[in-house]
Amino acid sequence: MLLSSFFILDFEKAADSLDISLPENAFYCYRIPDGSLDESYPINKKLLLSYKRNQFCFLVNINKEKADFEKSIESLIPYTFFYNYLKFSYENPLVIFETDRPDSGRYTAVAKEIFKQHGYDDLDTIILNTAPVSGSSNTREKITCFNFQESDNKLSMEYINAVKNVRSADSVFLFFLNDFKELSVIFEIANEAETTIQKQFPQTYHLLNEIGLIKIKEREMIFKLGLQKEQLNSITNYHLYYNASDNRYKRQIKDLLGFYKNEYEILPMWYKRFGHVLKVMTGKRTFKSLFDDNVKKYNV
Amino acid sequence: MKNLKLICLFVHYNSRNKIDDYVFTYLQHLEKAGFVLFFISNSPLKPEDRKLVNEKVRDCKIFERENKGADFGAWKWAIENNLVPEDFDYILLANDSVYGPLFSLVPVIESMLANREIDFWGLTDTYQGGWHLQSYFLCFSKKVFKSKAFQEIFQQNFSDEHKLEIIKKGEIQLTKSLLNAGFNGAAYAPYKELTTDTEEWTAINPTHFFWDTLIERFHFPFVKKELVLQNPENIQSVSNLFQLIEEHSSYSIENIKQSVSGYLASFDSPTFFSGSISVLCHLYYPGSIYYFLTRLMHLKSPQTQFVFNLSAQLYYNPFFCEMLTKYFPGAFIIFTPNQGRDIGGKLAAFDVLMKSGIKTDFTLVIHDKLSPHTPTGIQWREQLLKIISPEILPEIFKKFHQNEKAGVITNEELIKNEFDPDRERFTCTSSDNIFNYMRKFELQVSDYKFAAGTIFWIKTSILKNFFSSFSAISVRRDLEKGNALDFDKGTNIHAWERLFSFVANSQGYKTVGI
Repeated sequence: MLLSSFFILDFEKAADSLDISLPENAFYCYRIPDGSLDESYPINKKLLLSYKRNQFCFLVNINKEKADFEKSIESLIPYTFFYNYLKFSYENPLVIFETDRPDSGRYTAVAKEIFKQHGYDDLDTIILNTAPVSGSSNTREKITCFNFQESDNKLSMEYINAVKNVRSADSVFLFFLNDFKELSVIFEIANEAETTIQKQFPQTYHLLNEIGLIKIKEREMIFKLGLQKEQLNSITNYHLYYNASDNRYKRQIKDLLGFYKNEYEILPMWYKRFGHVLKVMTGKRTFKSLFDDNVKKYNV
Repeated sequence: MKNLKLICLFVHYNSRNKIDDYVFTYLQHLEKAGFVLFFISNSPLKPEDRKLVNEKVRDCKIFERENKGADFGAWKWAIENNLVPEDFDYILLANDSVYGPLFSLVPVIESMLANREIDFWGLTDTYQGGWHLQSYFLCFSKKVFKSKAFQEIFQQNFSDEHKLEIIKKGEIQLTKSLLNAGFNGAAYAPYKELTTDTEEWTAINPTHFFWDTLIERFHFPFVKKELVLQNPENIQSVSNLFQLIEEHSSYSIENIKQSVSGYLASFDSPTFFSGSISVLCHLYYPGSIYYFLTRLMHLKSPQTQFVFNLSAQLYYNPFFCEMLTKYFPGAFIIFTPNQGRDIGGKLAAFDVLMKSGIKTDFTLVIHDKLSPHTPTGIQWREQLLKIISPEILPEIFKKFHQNEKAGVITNEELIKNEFDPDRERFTCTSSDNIFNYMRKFELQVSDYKFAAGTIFWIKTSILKNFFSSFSAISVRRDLEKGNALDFDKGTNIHAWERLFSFVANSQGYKTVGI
């Protein structure tokens, strides 16, 4: 797909959708039901085994009470650990929020806080305001929504127009689906539409492709940066460990030497010599070593 | 060099009776450098591999022998069977224990042969066990080869010796014997240019510890296979190997990837267990990961469900992920931020297992233990990993079946009890954290023994009972972020190291040693 495209399906329909492989730059986005996700056993296995194919994220509606919202977000956390959960920015998972609340910013802040409690540095978000909202939280202008209840021709036209009107490299397309079976039809339409764009608007097509490649490179750089930071942390930690261990082991060595001195070194020489002979007699030390420091000392 | 006659006795061994691609590449480079090759395989060769050698390397003479005495055994065999022709100027003893060459061998060989004062040379030297040249690539003048000092080394018997003894009798003794006979030896990348530590007992293996410096500074042509596959010294920078090779050389890393895959395949023989098992495995360190995977392969069975939790470094390593999914198909793989160290990863893994609906009888809780902060880390790891060795596994399941009260099983040397009844405290720094948890979870503990190191077997029902009441994810949330240590201050992470056994005890089970 020319732009990052999310195919939105209800979560309970997700299992079947995974049989359809998505094209590059396309992702599944599962709309979570109002309740908890915990009981959705059969689907998880399939999601878990999708590995890096068919990456997915969640769409959460925040038109609900704060307590319910928190519960919903908590229930998402384990799913963001899945191998194929979408992460554009190193470790940070992506969640799409759908809202018509003017105070949606408060809710996304709560979500970010919950994700931080579970070890994430941050949460990547796309806010889909279903009502016009002023201010920075409105990312609507970068989002184009497609509803597949329209006729095929209309979708094709809408897709071409949307591509023509793209104003930002961060623009995304959201396709709202009723059924996963619609996917193959949409891919076909989008593919044909992109061929048309390539012919009629070669410059737009070329630029969008270039943006796509730059985005991929940008993500790679973000991953590399993240890994470098992690390695740097490891090295720092290693030095901290080393210093802490150094003191700790110095203490232990001191204790051990004290023990050795008190238990053994204070014994009279004749007693120690007797011990050496005893060792030879029991086969634990070589006879020659009693007289020569340069020969093999121990038999084990 | 053009007028010199060079021959090479190249020793090969492969447990799968196969010649890997990296070996062909190496042979072709040797041929290009002007060597006449004698390919001695210590493992049987397939006809198609013989054909390939003949196709790819001109005039290569191929021999097969029984795998006795490793490389020194093979060289001795070649000498005794008069394979070495009379008309040569230099003889190279080489083996397949290295990947490469990353750079052309010609300048290396030319520079070493140009120095007429050198009678024998290698690529690297070390002071481990006294100064000597390392034997994966050793070149001798005819004079040295014909000398009594050289011949005497190969009159020894290597057949029944272990690797270490062969190194002692062969590699170390060879240099010493030649020096005593008055010959001059040298290394292409001298140890003293890498480090000043030349004490016999503290000296290190330069091909392991300085693998990257060797490539960057010396254009060193090889990487030791052992470093990539087993990494016995746990050199973590090895995780940058492919990147460094791609930056400095045109060598195809596919050669190494194929060898790693082949190495893993050689351990891949699934077994059958009497009960179903789940393996909750946290993988963090990228440097020694393939070795660790070979240890886990003994646990593969139709009744095993693996759940791997990866660190970012492993998650973003496409080749590792390819190997993991190839050799552990059906495993659940997750990627969590570093919260709660291995404990956090294992809790997330258990949560996934529960959500998958898969039911198992026993669970192995494990991680790629390294403990880089302790000098005894490797020894400790070996003790912990005892409970997954194939010979111990039947005993573990027997113990679970015979002893109803056995809830947690680990190496008995690692069962600790830190409770001080006089002070009514635990002697570790995390005592308060433990008591807080015991109150929070209302644990009734009568036996404070626990499996130290957090690598143990546990009845899955124990975990299920507990985490049905207190979700594993919420427990993980309260653990410290990053690589927290408990040296000076207690942590929830280290409290949980103890708590798994206490949870079992609270349900009427014991921590039992093996």
